[in-house]
Amino acid sequence: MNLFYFSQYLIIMSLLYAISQVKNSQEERQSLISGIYHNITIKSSIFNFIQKSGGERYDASYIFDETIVQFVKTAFNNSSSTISGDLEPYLMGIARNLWYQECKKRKREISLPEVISHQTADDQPVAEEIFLTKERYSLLHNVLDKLRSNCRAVLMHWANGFSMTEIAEKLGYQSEGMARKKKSQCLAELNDFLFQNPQIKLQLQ
Amino acid sequence: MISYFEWLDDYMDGSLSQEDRLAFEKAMVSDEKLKHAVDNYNLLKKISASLIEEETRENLRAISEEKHKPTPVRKLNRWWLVAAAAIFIGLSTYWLISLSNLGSDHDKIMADLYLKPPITAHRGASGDSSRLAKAIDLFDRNYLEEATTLLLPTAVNDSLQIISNRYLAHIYLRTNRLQEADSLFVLVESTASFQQEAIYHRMVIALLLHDKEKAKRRFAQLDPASFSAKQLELVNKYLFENE
Repeated sequence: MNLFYFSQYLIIMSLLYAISQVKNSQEERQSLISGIYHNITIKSSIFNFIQKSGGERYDASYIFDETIVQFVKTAFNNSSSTISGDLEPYLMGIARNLWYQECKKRKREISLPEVISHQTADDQPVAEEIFLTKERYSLLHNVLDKLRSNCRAVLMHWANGFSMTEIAEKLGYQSEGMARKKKSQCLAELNDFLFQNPQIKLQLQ
Repeated sequence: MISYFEWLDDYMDGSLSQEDRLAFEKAMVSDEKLKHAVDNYNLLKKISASLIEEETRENLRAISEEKHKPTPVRKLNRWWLVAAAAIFIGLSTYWLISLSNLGSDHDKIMADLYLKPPITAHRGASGDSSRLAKAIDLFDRNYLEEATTLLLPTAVNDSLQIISNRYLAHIYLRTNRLQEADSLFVLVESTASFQQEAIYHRMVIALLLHDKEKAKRRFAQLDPASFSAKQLELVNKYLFENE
């Protein structure tokens, strides 16, 4: 379905379209994230699910934020063009899996039949490891602060599987060669920082 | 001069020609940073890949901050309502206007002077410590009510008392429970690492309570080196302007 309607109350957006928004530009990502964040339908679905599964309101708000992070991360890294379906059920799938993992982590015994059935379905998103734990986030924030914003963009696209041609096109470099050169400079910059700060490196490993 | 960093991806995925691979390896012997990049290639890639996660979290934080900050438009509407009411109800209007001014003063002082604690990593292993870590995370994301629920029990745990009280004090200040915030900042003040922060916010509380003299006394206790010049300039404006 290519039609989409995105408002405070209703979210009918094709998954493929949402993924393309994530991949297109930082502005489009921001607008999509804001749209999901302020969408009452999706927010209340996730909050209801968590609270009915024994979670508190703060658990729901945590899972809701993590769902958005997980979705953007997965979508940005996605190279498949055969994904179908709508965004809302996909987000619900991520939320269910994240909550299931959170419960396992807390070793809580709660009944989650729906979660388990979703986890085994092929078309459902799998909650990947969230790299940025709170501790890593603070550390990484310091590391990344040292990088200039254009470096961050180049490295982010490179490490998430974008080709040099795509990077040149999206970030406005004149040629693939220029993008490649920029990527090497930025990677060298990041490498230098870790080389000079072995303690930080150790904590990030 | 060849920049071997440009060959790094090809070397790592084995797509360099035999001749180039040997040249790259020779360069690695004399260039320890290049060798470091090869040894830590996966980490470099993982950090770079996580930039999207970092960007998204920053976006969410910005949206959440935006959602929780006072809305000047509403104040303006309220002002106009009060002004309109003044036409009809005479003297009582003065009271309403002064009340409205108090509200906007409060928001302005908070917007200009309040300093949110920087994001800190608090490692939570289990029990209260884990609850505290979650509470701080909720505080960072402006879920103040939920954070309070978690902080109240951790505030009675001896080893977590100071840090819990610090965040509770901030929450009370932000939710206009000024006396409670002040008493908690007094407790926090006893810890060297939070002392300046506590004195500073007690000064803000004094200003919010329109006690300029007390605010000045607290200002005198501050170590200027702990604050930016811009912040001190703003404080000066509130404390010493029109004198």
